[in-house]
Amino acid sequence: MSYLSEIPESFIFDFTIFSTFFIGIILIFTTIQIIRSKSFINSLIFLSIFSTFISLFYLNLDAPAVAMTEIALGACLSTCVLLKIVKVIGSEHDKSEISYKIPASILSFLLIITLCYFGLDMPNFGAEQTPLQENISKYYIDNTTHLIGIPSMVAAVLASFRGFDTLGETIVILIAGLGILLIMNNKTNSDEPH
Amino acid sequence: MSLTNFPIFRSIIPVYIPYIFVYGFYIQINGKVSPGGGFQAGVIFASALILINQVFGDRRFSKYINNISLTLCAVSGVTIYFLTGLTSLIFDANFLDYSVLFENTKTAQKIGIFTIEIGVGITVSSVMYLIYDLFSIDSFRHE
Repeated sequence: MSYLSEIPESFIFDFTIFSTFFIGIILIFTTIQIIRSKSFINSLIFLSIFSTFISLFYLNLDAPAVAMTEIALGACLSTCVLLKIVKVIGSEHDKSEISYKIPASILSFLLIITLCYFGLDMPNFGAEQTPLQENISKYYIDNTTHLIGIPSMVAAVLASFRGFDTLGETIVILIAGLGILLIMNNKTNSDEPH
Repeated sequence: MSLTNFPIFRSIIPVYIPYIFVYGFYIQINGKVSPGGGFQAGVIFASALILINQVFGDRRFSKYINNISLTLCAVSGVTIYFLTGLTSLIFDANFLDYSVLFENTKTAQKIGIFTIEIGVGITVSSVMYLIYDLFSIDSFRHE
């Protein structure tokens, strides 16, 4: 804490603030393009770009594991699955008559105002003496080395301290796959009458 | 029209695929010292499988990797995880408490974490490829 107060704060967070601002602008324009684009394939490509840039955002917040997951799942895998679906349903939008532009804009504007108002009450990013930093994370930081003995604290929390949670997550993934298998699989019962 | 029809992709993509597999192995094994772990390694493995499927088509693949084998792999991953927990239960410790698996406590923790990460990786990679494989055109030609 003492050495942080000697260095001016603007020097520490300068690059982080700059790149966060830059990535935020790119994300906003990409989102507008996702909504405005005429065909599904354009939307999918901009969705993939969105995932790529938001993974840079996660990397900026010192979460490389989340960034890796986002760029593998969001930018690659879900784009492949959605491209397969677009192949089936066609690339053109269904142009509906009713437009919700004005009420949707009003709602989004109100949401922005609400988020900004409550965001002012949040503690600063990385601030000490907050409930987030005081309670359980202190226990993990103190005990990971002499109880588990591995350098990666994330892996220790994920696999050992909270191993039961991870078992549940794995079972959730298995159930998701089995559910999609039961819904979409028609190779075995294709001869049933409809 | 797919990637299968382009000879450039068919000759370039086989160069990339081993590197993607090696990167997946690296993330799977080094999950204890670097960012990553079973979930990320599984997704990267599934990406490599999807790349092979997109470039070379289904035919070469579907003899070994079909719905039944993928489901078996997914279930066996969860079983590996669960059996690791049960093993420590047999040795008179709590469920998923790895410290009794070996004489040294820290080595036992490393062994336990490595085993369950392998289980998670198998489950995630097979389920991701299963989801990709099921959303094919054939699945929608029901009616």
